[in-house]
Amino acid sequence: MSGPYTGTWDSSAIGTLSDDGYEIRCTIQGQEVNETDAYGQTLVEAIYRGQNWRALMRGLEWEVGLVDALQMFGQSVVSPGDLLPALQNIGDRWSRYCKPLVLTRILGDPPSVPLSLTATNAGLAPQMQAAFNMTSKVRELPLEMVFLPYAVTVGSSTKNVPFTTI
Amino acid sequence: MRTLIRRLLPDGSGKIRIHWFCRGPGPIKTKGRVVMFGINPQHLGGAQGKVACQASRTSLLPEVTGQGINHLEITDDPRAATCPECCATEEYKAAMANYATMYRGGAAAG
Repeated sequence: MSGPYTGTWDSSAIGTLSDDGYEIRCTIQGQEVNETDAYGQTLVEAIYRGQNWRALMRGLEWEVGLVDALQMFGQSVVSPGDLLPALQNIGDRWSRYCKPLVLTRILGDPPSVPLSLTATNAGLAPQMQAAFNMTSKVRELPLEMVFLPYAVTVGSSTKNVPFTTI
Repeated sequence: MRTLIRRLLPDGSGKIRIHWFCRGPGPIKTKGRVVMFGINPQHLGGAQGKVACQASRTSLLPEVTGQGINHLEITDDPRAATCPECCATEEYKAAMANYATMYRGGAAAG
């Protein structure tokens, strides 16, 4: 259950990351039933309210996939890999600018599991803050992406998923 | 340390060639594992199918050659695939036709 992965966002390479690679996080949302007369503040039940998945990464290469993800809402001049952010599309749907994030394992023996992870509706996390230093050190670019749910058909059934794996 | 070779699309765009793993009958069976996580177990891997443009390929393992490691980047979602040969297969066209007629509202938008 270990091994590095290559990644693409909108089929553009993300490049080398820090030692933590792609950190996949899941938050299980629930409403707690924990204020009752009989049991006080004991957690006696909960209501399932969905789940949120996201990926954190810290890029060490100024690669196209990473830079373009940072500017997923548009550039002043369309130039993949260049830092030309533009203030546009404000008020538009977030998912409209999400693209597929595809992670594929590198190791074959022993093989890492899963072999591949695809989040077809992946984009920057709302309120994400990214900071990078323009100095004489390795430029690290941290990004946080959310996996918005989307429909996928497997066989004869269709489900809403945050991502799929092989 | 061997070089990892990632394939680009032939159109000069610099985009990565991402193959499509067509689930269903096929010579490939990936290793699966069940991990207890959150509200229910997560089934990772364990899929059966084929690489759309390489139907006779029996493994998804990277190929180690004298030049380096030939890395096969692959997805099971046709909407994320970029390999022109995979996208030209009948299975791919059928899968995309299915998504084209799917209602895209709320959580189903993609």
